[in-house]
Amino acid sequence: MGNEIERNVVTTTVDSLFNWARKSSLWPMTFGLACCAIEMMATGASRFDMDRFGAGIFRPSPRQSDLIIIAGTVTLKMAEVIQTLYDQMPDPKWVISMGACSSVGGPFDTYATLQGVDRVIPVDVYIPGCPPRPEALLYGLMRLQDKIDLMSITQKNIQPQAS
Amino acid sequence: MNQENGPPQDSPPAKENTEPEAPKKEAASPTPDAKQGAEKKAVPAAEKPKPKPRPKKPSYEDLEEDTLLDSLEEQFPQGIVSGQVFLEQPIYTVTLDRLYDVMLYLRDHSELAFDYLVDVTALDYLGDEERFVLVYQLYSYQSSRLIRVKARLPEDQTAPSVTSIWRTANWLEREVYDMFGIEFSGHPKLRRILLPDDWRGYPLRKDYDIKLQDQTWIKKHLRMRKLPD
Repeated sequence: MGNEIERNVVTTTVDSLFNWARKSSLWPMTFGLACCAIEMMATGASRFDMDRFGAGIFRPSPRQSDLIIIAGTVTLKMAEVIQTLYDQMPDPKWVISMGACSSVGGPFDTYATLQGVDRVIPVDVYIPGCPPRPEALLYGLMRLQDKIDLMSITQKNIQPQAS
Repeated sequence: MNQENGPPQDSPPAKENTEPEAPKKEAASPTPDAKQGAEKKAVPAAEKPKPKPRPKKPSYEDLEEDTLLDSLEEQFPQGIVSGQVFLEQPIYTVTLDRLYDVMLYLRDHSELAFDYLVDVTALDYLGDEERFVLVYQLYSYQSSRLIRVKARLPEDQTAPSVTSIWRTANWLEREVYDMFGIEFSGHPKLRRILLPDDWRGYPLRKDYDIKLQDQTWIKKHLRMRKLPD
C-alpha cells in the first residue's frame, strides 16, 4: 500500500509547485540587438538546445513572454524602447542581461551607449562574455531557475530582486 | 629608484669596454689564429642577409598628367583648388560654390560616368578658419575608377545638397548633418538619422567629448534607475 502511494502520488508544497512550473516554462522574448543575438540563436538551435529547459519558445510579443534576454548593445535610443517593452510584460517577469554590452556597456563607453541596461530596467541575472558562449547562457538560465526557486507565493513582492 | 642613474653610468663603461677590445683584436691578427678568425669574420659577413628595403610610407602627392583634372580645370577655371593622389586614388579639392556643378559634370561625364556616390563624410579641423572638409567618394562602374572630391567650408555655412544628382546622398548627408552639424540646402528632409531627433550636440566634432550624453534628452525620455550599491 505504501509503495503504491509512493509511485503514484507526488507530494509537494504549493510554492515549489508554482516555482517548478514557472522555471520550467520560461518563454523568452526575441530581443537580440547585436552580436550576442547570434549566440542566443546558437543556444536555441539544436546543439545547445535551450528547449530542454523549457525556454525554447521565443515569443515575438512582450505580452506573451515572461523572460526578456537583453542580448546586445543597448543604445540610448533603444533604451526607451526597452522600457516600453518591459512595462508591457506581464508579471512575473525576469530579465537576463546577456553579454558585456548590456551588463555594463561593454567596450563602448560613448555618448550613445547605455552603460548597462540595469540603468533602466531591473536585471536578475548578468551573463558576462563578449559574446558569452551558449553554455554560459544556459548556465545563466539555470541560475535564474535557481532564483525562481526562492520565490514564494505568500510574499507580496513576487519579484526576487533587490530593486 | 636607482634606474635613473643606471643608463648614463652604464654607457661610458660599455664604450670603454669595446674600445680596448678592438685594438686587442687587431693586435691578435698576426697570430696563426688570425686566419681562422678572419674566415670566421668573413663567413658570417657573407651569410648576413641584406636588409630588406622598407616600403615607402604612403603620402599625398601632386596629381600629374591627369585627363580628368585637365578637363575639370577647363570647365571650371576658378573652381578647382588642387589635385592630389594618395595610394593611386585621385583627390580633387574644389571650392564650395562650384561643388554642385562639378558633381553634376562628373556624373554626366561621357566616358567616366560617376554614377555611384559611395560615401559622403566630413572632417573637422578645429581652429582652422574653414573648419570642415566635406569628402565625397565617387565610383564609376563604366571605367572602374574611384575618386575623391573634397571641399572646405567654414562653420555655419550650408553646403549644396547633391541629392538631386545621386539619391543615396539623402541618407549620407543626413548622417553628416547628424554627426557634424553641416546643413545642406536643397535636401528634401534634413533631420537626424543615427541619434534621436531631439538630441542636442554634434558628436563627431572635435570639441564634443566622447562620453558626453545629452542629459536633457535622458531626463525627458528615460527613467534612469538608481544603481544598486
